[in-house]
Amino acid sequence: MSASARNYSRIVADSGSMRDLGAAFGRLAPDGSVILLEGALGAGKTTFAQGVGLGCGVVGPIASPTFNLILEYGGRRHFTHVDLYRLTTASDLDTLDIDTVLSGDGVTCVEWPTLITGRVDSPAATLKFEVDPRKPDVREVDMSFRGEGWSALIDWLAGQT
Amino acid sequence: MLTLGIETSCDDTSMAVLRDENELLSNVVSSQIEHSEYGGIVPELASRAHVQNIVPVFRWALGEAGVEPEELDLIGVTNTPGLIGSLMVGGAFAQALALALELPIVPVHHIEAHIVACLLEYPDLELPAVALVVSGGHSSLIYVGEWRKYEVMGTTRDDAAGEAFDKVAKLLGLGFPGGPEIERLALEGNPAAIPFPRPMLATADFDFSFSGLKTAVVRWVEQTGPEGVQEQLTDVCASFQAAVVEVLVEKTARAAAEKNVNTVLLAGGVACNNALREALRDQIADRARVLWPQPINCTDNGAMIARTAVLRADEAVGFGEFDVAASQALT
Repeated sequence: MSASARNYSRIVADSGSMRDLGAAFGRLAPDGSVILLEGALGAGKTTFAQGVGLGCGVVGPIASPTFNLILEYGGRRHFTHVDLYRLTTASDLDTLDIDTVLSGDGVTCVEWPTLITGRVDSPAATLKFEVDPRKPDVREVDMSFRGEGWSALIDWLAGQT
Repeated sequence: MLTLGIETSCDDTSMAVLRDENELLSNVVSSQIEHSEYGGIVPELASRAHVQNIVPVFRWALGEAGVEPEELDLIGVTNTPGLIGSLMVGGAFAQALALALELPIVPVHHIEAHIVACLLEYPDLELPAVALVVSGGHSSLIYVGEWRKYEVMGTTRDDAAGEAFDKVAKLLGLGFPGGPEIERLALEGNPAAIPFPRPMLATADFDFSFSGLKTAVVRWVEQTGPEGVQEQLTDVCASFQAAVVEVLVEKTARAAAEKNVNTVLLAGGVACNNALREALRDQIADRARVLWPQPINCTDNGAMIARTAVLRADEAVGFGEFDVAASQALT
């Protein structure tokens, strides 16, 4: 795990822009990376993850994985979409064989990741989604990156401002 | 002919014994076992729970049917879609049984089985039909031209209908599963009290989206505050349910009209919702016969797997030829 964390913040105007941001992660995140998505219900986590899937070249709908816990998609890059919303204890993670899932290739998004914080040693990004109650469409996304291979994505983020 | 149906694709372990096509001898779900003589443990989740439950459920299903393992003729088992570890437990059990008793196995698609569940109670149902399959993990409109031939007309683009019910229930501090709680409170509420959005109601396709509706409830709860939410609890439940039901019914009616069918099937766990059943029947009754299974055959169950296995008995495979898949499209 790399010691240096790099932090970025972004205001996202609407769900379309949220998908675009996700798509950039899907294209440019390093192979084997894990993206942890934190935020309340309705904060935009699944919308972002749908963008990541698009960026990975997934064709067809990317639905919420809440019920099935883990959904995997073949694309130009392998995309794994995990949602731990329904899990209550860390022992449930073992029944999911979560360490194997997290060490997969391509890009993995994890919604409601509290139970696995500290278990991720791949290149990782943590995204926190905040809602401004006065502007219901707008989200603030705080991003921090750990490990190697993020420079292409960080360059893209820098080019967007 | 005696068929054992095994279902382990998600949280519940379930098995059923079916004689011939429609005579159900038993249909057992692990969540019923908790306080029974078998003392099965029912933790929240997945494969470990299936490992603990599968033998007691098997014994109970056969015991209730009054059938010995040697009398079985066919095994049906869910092989897709679902949680891979959970599917593997059912699949491995089915294979062990197949090896020991020299039985053929029919791999069963979980969504097809939800639709076929309607056949258990309505063996004379007329095809073609349009089926609305709504549950915690699925929301799809499917055209059934004939049995074993399906066309997925539309599906959810984000949250499933049952998932929206569960998440809104949790947000409102209600129990799990959320559907029955919301339905109960909605009976006392005004469905027009809060104008929640009807996502994708106007689009020409047959897809659904419930994420935006869920977010609208989140915003309403934030703006209203805890006291106001408690005061208006029945109204928010009724208004939310009305939004989900309106979208499901409208799109199903349109799909039925487009395909010009005389039968509409309602299946999956959310098919237990009476508001949905009544609204669907009200809107479609003059055009098509609307059918749904009784509640135990709507939620995940072994009976629907057994019935589907009978339908596809000619596709049976032997030991070692069976495989599971996390997600495979229904065709």
